[in-house]
Amino acid sequence: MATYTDTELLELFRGDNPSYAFNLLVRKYQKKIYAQVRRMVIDHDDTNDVVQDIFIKVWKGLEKFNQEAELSTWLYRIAVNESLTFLKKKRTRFFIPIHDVEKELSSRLDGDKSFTGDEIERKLQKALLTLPEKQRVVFNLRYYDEMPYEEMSKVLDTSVGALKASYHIAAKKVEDFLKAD
Amino acid sequence: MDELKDIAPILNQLPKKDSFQVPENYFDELPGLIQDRVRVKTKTRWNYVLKYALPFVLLIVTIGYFTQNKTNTKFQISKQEAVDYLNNQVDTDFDETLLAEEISVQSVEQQTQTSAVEDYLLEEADEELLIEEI
Repeated sequence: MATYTDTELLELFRGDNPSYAFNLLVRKYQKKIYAQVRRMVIDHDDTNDVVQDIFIKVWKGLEKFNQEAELSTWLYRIAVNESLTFLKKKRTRFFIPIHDVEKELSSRLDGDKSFTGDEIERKLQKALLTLPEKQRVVFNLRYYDEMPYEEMSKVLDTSVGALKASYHIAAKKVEDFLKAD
Repeated sequence: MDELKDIAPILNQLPKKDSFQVPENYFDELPGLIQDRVRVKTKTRWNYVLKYALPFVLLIVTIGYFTQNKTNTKFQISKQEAVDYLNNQVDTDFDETLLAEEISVQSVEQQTQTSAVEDYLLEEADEELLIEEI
């Protein structure tokens, strides 16, 4: 399947067949968006729900998308917001304080057959779950996606300096966790 | 990434990979699932319009139409037309002599009734009282 640039996708969307263009957009970004969400919510079924919600929001907002930001930036922003909203709802629904939600996700990792990493990688995921949610987002975008700070700044609407500091603090916390028994 | 070399050496050496397994064919099916949801949302919105909003709008338009027609059908006639109409409604067979007869009959009947009353009173009256009165 031919890969379209974001500009081409938007032009196609505004043409005669927006559904087709949207389908192409989903196929282009689904894996990256899925991975980003899965790192935050851990469980596949939850990830599936959140990813679908993300793309429904994209469909609704695409007509009014004014291209002030890059399409990918806009998509990532929606993905981050939906992931954080999901975790917040999970906390509220069960009246669980924040650290308990992450504790629950951490214990899920132990019995999760869909987690194919070795022991150190499992430990890394548990370390990430000890981070504050927004710090975890910064870490994931930088460490796994290798997103430039300038782009991340647009996604998260935070200064480059603050993001660098957040990432370094997160990395040190993770390092300490990995060193511990 | 050299960024972590000094601050997190263990982390820096770990292979970067996503260790979360995705169900088979998931990404083949996901676009279709999303398209179905988008189609349902669009259809639901139109169903709502057809089921609730459209009948309501039609009702308002209908009421407005009939209200408008009622106020526009004022019956306007001239004075002469009204007089002519009333004159035409009067019974042309009305005979004044009949009216006169009716009045005389009523008078006789009235007189008869009066005599009957007087007779009754005279019969029932106390003679001694009547004599005193005279």
